Amino acid sequence: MRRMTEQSQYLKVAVMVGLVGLLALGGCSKTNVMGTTEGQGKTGAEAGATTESGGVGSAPLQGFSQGPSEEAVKRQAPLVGKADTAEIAARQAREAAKRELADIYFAYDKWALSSEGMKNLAQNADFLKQNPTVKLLVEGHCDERGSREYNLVLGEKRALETRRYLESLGVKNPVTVTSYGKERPVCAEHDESCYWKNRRAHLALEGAK
Amino acid sequence: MAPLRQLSAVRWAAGPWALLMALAGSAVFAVTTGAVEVFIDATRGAIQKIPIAVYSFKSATPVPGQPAADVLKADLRRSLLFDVADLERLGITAGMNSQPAPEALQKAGEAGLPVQVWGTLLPRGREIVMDGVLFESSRGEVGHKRYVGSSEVIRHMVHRLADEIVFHYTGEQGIARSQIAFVSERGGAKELFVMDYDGYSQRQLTFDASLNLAPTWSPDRRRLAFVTYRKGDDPQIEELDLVTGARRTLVALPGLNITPEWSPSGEELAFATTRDGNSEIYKVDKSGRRFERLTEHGAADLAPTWSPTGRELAFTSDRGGTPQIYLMSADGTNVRALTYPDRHGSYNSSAVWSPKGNWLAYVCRDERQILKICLISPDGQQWRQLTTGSSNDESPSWSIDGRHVVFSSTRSGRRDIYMINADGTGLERLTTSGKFNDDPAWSAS
Repeated sequence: MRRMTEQSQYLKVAVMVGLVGLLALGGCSKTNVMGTTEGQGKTGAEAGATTESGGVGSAPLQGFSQGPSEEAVKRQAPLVGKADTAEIAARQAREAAKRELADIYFAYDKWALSSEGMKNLAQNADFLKQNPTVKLLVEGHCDERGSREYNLVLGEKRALETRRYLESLGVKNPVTVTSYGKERPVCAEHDESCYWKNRRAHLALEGAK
Repeated sequence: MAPLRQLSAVRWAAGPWALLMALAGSAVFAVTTGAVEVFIDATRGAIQKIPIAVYSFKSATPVPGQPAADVLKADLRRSLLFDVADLERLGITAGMNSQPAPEALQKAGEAGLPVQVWGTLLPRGREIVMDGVLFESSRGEVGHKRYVGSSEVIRHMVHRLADEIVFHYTGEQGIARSQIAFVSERGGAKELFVMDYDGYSQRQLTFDASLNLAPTWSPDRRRLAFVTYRKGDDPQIEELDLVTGARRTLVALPGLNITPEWSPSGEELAFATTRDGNSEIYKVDKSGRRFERLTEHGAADLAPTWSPTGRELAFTSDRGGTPQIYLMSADGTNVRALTYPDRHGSYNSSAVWSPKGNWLAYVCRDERQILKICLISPDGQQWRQLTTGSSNDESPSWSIDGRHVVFSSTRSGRRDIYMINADGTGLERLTTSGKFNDDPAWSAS
């Protein structure tokens, strides 16, 4: 705990840290605690002025004065969740169990199916209709030449169009649609040799042998 | 002996406000006319910076004092409110003692430096006591700041001192204590990270081995809302409490749930969802229970950003055929276009409203299909392209003082985070680790 200085002019003032008052958690282990007003409760005799540095809301500024109160500055790493290994393992097992189909490709900024794409989907449609309980996942993707946000929507349009076409062919399997925008590219080069590969709807089956 | 700059007839009157009034400044007024807000930028010429002398910190600890002074100079320079003097070039040296010799202080005053700062580092047990002194050439010592902590937090002590100086002269919250949250793939998957505003202390926040995107700070800096794919096939919006480490699902509507943005009050979260078939903008209260739909249009509406009063939102919509920036009231009424294809190009997206209200930054795609950052005033009258070059620049986010924009760029060959002043100067790279650093969000101080 902080020692009171001998000089009476240096007062220790309890400071409300951040805009949210936080309870001081017991005593000495301060490393994992955010924004405590240090010194309260444990010794009773002193109230500490504390500012946590970095991470969570900083204490209000106190201004200059001739006899300033001391501000204790602590290194605070934000409390963060550790890896949920069970969740990660379950997710990866699910990924591994998927059966990937051939991707469907799209023109720049467009979500209309090409004739090649339609032919591809027609072949998949036959398999799906013969295995009506198999789940299909359609992911939409984009090349890097649009904003992150709008590409999420463009990717979904590509996936939705793919689903719509399959349903028009009589596919009645459960079809989930999602979009990764440009967040999961299959290549990174900044030219059309890579761009076209990313403008895709990716299809995967779940529950298929 | 180096020639001294002669002070002009301007005498720095006592008190910080008189000092500020002596400088031309810019002011931003918000005028409400019915449901529409108009932000008037009454800029009376460029703000004149306050000349300041920063002496090297004297250290009686194993930690040298010069780096602390360097951090302070960088913080003051970045605030764009101070003109940090080159004391060496002026031939001014502080001397050996813990405070600059009176001759140095006088020489600096005569050289046209009305404000002077120095500091000392003293040991106390295993910790360090930093004493910072603010001095005005016309009246002497204004006051001290005193910080105590381990040697690990010296940078943060200096950041607080810098923000105290900014507050003293302008009443404004400085940015030196602020944090930038961002997404990095350096560990293998796209995870959330946080760093100091100057790029130091980069720390990982999530370890989900999935895909996390689009962090947005609550105004009290305590919570981050963000998009995660870890729960299933569809992206959901989660909240991470940085105080307790708790995670909470905020939005898990069927379809995509994307582009979250906390309101200035922290009471509401605006976001976009495709639960209705196409992307629409909704808002939800911070408990996550009360949803309100804001847009009703068959087109894609997404990426909402709040005006600093919380009464208006800007957003991206392709209702006109191509993505453009639109404005609307916070209840979804009074939708109108801000950018137009014939004036601003055929692809504009991802607007962020400055906390000062007078500008929006957004992503503009040019004829080469390259993404840049552009600025537009909320009345549409002023427009500027902020970044140049042939790299892809996107994901802008404003500092709390409205004078800086942080963004991601491929200009180094990989994707990294940069900051730039709103006038286009002062480009600074903030990340160098890993090959993908993106989606920055700038916190309050």
